[in-house]
Amino acid sequence: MQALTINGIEQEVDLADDTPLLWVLRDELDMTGTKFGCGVGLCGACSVHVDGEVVRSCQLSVGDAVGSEITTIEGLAGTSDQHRLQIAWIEKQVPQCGYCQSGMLMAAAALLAEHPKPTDEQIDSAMTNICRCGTYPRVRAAIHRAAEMG
Amino acid sequence: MTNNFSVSRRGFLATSAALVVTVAAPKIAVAQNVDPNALGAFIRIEPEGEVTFVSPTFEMGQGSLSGLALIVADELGADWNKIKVVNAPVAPAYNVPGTPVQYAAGSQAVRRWHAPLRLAAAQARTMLTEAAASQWDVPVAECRTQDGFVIHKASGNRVPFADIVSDAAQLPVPEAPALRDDNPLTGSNVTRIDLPSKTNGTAIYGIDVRVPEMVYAAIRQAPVFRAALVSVDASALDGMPGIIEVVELEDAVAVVADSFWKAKQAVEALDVEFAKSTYDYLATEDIAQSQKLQLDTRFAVASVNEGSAFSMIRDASNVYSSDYDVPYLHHMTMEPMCCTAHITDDTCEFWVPTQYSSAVRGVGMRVSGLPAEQVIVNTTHMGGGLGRKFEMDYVDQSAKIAKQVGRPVQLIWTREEDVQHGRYRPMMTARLTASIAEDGTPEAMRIRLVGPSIPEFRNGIPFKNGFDFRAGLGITTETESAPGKLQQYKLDNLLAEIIYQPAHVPVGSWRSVGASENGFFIESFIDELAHEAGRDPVEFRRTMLRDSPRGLAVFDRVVEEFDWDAELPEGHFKGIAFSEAVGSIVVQAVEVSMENDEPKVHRVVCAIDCGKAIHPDSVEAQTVGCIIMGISSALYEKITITDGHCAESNFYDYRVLTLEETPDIQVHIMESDYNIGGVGEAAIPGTAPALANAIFAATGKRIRSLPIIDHI
Ligand code: FES
Ligand code: FES
Repeated sequence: MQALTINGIEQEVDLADDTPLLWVLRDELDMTGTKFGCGVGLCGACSVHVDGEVVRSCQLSVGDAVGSEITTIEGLAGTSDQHRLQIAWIEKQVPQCGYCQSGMLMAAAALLAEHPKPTDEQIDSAMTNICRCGTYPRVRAAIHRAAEMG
Repeated sequence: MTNNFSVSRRGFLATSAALVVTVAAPKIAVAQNVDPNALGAFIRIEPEGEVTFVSPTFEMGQGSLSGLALIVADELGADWNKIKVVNAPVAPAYNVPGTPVQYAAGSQAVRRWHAPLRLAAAQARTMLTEAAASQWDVPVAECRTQDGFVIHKASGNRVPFADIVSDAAQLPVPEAPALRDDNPLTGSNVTRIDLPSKTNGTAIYGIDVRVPEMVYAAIRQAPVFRAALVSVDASALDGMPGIIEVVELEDAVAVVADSFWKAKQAVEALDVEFAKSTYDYLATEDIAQSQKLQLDTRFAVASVNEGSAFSMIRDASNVYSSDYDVPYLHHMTMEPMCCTAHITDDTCEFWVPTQYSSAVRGVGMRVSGLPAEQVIVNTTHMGGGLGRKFEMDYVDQSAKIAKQVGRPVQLIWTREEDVQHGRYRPMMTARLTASIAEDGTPEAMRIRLVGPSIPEFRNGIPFKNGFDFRAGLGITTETESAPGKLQQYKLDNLLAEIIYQPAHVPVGSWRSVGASENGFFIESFIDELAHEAGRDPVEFRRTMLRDSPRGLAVFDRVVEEFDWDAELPEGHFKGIAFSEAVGSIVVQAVEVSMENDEPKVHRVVCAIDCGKAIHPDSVEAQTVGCIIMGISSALYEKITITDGHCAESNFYDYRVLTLEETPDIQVHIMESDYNIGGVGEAAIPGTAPALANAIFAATGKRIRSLPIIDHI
């Protein structure tokens, strides 16, 4: 039995300790905003926050997630309607297929938490998520836009 | 045909019950009880005035859903912020105009649907204005619609659609109503409909479908394509929790479990034997070698034979020739293949990310044995399509697994399965030959292509009516502005031949299909000709474009915006390419430098003429997306066949472009009065040759084989 805190809510699951958090979210809790892209920690589609740090949830076992504060895309806005990144994302019309965007937004939110006004270089090194649709230039622009709004 | 797109009275019936329902899977709205054979399949105005557009196309990121909704909302005078869009079920009314099937491919959504949807909206608008005009007793010509209201300016009357819809429903459907000439939404950058859900995790992709009682399947397919499954030893699964069933397929085995993670672990634990195959020792080099030999064959199918290219080249004194090749490529959609199916005694239902819903229904009929009416296809958002989700392999597997298990099953491929069982862009080998006029430009050109055939892989026949049009895409033209036979170039003597190379490697349509290879061959070759003639590549192409004012205008725009004649920083070099695909004209100029023996792309300047840009922001987004995929594939991407199977397996050995590597990309949209062209694939073909031409300028080495990093 594992007790998890996800988006501020306590949830209990009963799984093998080595089950990746990604599949706990998706299959057990039906929180499908967090996406599966590669399963090996390379694409970032599964990014969530664990105690405020961006983590690729396909690489974190549920056993290791116990006791941490987990935030997923569903909880990114917190108590408000939209996180400023989500507003900027819509304003800049960033998503195409949209599949990578949950992970992009989680990575961007962690970046802004660390660097409220990130430089292009900081964006380049933090945003290692893969987007096959090629939304990268708009991701950059929307992060700058959200930084302005902050 | 006109009638098929009309609005029916039925669609207006104010008494209709809920017309859009939510089916078993929560959050996926499917227009379940639209009567698809009736008129009025596209636009529904509810008694409360809510406008619903039933979209015949599917969204994979190309923005068509919003593009088509915009066309409808604009012509109808609906409120953009309130229009609802649902995906159509499979039915004849939603077949792509001019075809017997329902699909999203070939960058055709806006091109093919623009006129019929506009007509349907105009019919609805006319009925609404007529109803209001007769209520107010004013001339109908003085009434107009705007933001969901009918308005009569002189009298100050205005009525919301909701209050007039039942009267309007009583009126006859006008056959050929006038189209409005003020279309404020068209050409504006209104917010795409799908964006909010794609920023908060609520958009439902194929992998997100949740149906009551649903279980999950993971699959292991024969590494050597299509090798038969011989035996499965499942003893390793004893004691594993959550396992429901092991399903044997012809060339694969699947495990069904109560979670995907358990299914995946179990399928990997199986002891599986696949049959020996004649391809067990085949490698990419063997296929490449064979294709190279075939360049010299005497027999070829001519897909284009204009003027007297053959004899002119045979008799010419000045002939130039070069050979090129491109590797197999994977689509690498971010959402891997997945499909949910449920087969009972009397229904077969799918929830699937697909570009080809008619074919899904066909699979359902074949596997379930049920008639068409009992097969339901719910389409979801696609986490990328790129041509891959036009295929039926994953749909077929999910249906077969669901049939055996007897409950809803969601099949998900791991990334490894996805990479190793692609429907790859064909590996192609080409020889381009030209007879050269005194000024160095080609008088006649011969393009020989050798490679596998996508139609052959799909249907068993390599050619249709004598040729494989997919392989020949991007050579001639789909526009009315071409002065010659080769895209927009002035060239009257063109012979394009296709030589079929049988191979066991699965192939399919990869964004822009044949144009993506042919663009590289043709524009590299023209660059070579310019160099041979000692002429500047820009000036040389301008000469060849002289009779296409349209092509020249796009070309000149890029030359100007790039500032082609300006000095570049030390160590930076430039390349340019012209291309025409899916009815649009695209020119790209790139700036590169070499860093640690790898090319670094600094800047891309692009101009596109797609006729009218319905939603310019989407044109920009698609063009940038194509360029990024174009750079990625030209620089890095390659599928290798070793011992009959695909050697790559995930992002660590199939490298794609990252944000950090993405250059500054400028797109200039040039509108024209020519027919609307496609945009979802238009900018793919020109990127690779522009890069290769820049690398030639940088290193003196002509890149005739992709990916570039393997050849510098
Ligand atoms: S799915 Fe976790 S990084 Fe790709
Ligand atoms: S928006 Fe499609 S993968 Fe990023």
